[in-house]
Amino acid sequence: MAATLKCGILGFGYMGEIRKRVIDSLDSMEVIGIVEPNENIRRNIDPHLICPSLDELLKEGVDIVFVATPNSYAPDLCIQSLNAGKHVFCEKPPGRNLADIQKIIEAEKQNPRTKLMFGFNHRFHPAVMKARAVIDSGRMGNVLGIRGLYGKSGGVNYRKSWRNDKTISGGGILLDQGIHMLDLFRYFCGDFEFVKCFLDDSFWKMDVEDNAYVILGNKKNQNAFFHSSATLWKHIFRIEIMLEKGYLNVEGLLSKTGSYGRERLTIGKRQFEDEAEAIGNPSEEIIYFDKDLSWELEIREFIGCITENRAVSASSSDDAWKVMKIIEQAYQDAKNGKGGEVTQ
Amino acid sequence: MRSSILMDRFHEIDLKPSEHYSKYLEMLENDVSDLLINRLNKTRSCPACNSQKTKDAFRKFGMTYHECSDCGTLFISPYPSNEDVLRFYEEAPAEKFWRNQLAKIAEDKREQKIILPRIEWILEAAQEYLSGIPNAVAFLDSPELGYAKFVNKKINNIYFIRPFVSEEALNGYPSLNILSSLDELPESLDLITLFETLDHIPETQDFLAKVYKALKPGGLCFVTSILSSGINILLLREHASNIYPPDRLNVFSVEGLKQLFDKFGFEVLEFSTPGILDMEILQRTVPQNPDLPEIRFIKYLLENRDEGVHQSFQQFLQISLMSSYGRILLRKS
Repeated sequence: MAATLKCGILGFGYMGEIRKRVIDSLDSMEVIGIVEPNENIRRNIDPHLICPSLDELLKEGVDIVFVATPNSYAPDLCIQSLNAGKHVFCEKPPGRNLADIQKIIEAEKQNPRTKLMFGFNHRFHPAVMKARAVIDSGRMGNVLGIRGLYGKSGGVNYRKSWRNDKTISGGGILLDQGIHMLDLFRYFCGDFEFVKCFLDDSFWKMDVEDNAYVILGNKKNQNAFFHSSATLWKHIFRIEIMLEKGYLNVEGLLSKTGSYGRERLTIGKRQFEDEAEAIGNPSEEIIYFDKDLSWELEIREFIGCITENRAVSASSSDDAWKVMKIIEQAYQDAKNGKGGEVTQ
Repeated sequence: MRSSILMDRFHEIDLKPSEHYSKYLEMLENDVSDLLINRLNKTRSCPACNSQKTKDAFRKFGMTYHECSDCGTLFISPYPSNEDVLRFYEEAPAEKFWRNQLAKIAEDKREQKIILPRIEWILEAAQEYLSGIPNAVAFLDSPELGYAKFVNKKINNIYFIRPFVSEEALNGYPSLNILSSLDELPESLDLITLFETLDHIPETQDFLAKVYKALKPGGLCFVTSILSSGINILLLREHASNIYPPDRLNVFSVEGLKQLFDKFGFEVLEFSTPGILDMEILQRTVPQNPDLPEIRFIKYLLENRDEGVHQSFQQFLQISLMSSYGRILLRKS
């Protein structure tokens, strides 16, 4: 293998640009080609890097293909790249539905020397990593339950976005944004076997949901709840984790615009042994983070898997399949009805 | 870089019982006059940023504090030598009173509120940045063995420099290495603690160079310090009860410390001002000093707003890095 990993990027929208920036910052990787069908977006690309198709890109000898396209295109592009013996990094969600990720996994199995990772970058955010480190240390006991809120405002281009065209995206806010929350719930708790879901298209009236309310449970008796919304009118990211000896709250997300607020982790320690001081208002440590290395860390992890020939353990195809399984079940549950009626 | 907010609950009196603390300060002023004031031989520029643009700030126990016009650090000049300061800590009756009486009275609270949280800070950071329990650690601050008591069984090699303890007291600590000076430190330490150490080191930059050298690449340095950019010091100046020689030969500002660490190539992983006591100290000190300039705002806040608002303001000070107690985590590049 060449000392420098040659990379190709499929799709040069928001995510494609981020991936290029990160690759450019690393000595061990270089972008040798970008495929982007949209002429307006292509103007932003160095002409030397523009490549007409994935076929051409593969001929140029790439080592890694970054798939940053709308959801409906991702599975076939991943499969073609894997079958060509290339490593693949695919943005979330891993297709539109469970069938899409299953097809990708089949190709992965057929090409065992390739590495496949998905872009669940929230795992690599500093507050999330610190929360996981606290949980792993065991000093706060087991996770009892978890609650999340991930919301945005929609925005002026909401109706025009491919993300809300079901034939391309496969789903609405649950699939697009809620998938991060679900991935983090699994990251903190492990698998969930039970799911209940309510969906709304209360404001935007598109053919996908603009609000998802999801309740989860597992065999370890951990329950979880999250709300993913395009009608909060404010960008909010919050996860509250209850543990036996306290709680962890992750709030805010470091991002390019800063619209989710300062990323911080609150560590609260249960104090009812000393209630004279605490009285339900325990001492807290709040850690503020000001550097988002999530994109870099995620890619470095992927490079490590390739160069050290390690199995992908973070954001793997198994993680992607399991989270899509929950989402598919959630959509199914929501379709089945609104649950038991409360009789007055 | 990260910044931590710690809203714990304790009072100044828990750590410094007032009657004994007053006696300590009285003794200290006499000792400084007897043992140090005639030992001020050298003058200096700002120990943080090296600026020579300074102005006289105030005098305390007969020594002159200067304020750096560039970074806001306060420092004593002319100043005593490192040897004189060490001898003072070893021999001054006030320091013996602190070790033998005052510290013992408050021992439980100090362990609970100061030492154990710092041990937790150290072990968590070691887990996060060194991926486990450190192998070799130097405590370059404690004249006693308080910290060793809690990590003795976890860490293989612990280094202290001339602790003020008897030979017998060392028997229970097989992993301890007692050195007579900083120059004897091995150059492969996982971490070094400087808990309020830089505050009383006269030749700060020489000292920090040796600390940097002793750390292995990626090694961690834990620093705590009283800060001149903290609200107490900004408002109270010489009336701040914790500003006195030789403990505070240097009172660094946030900006000064950042420049100092940057100069040596340290990466600042955390810079926090997690002080708990600013508002309490102001509440006690402002009424005793009604003629202090620039206190109209804080006087109004103290007199007309309740405990809840004071706590919120304390939290605001931490978030804004304006509490007068700083904690910094550094990594050798």
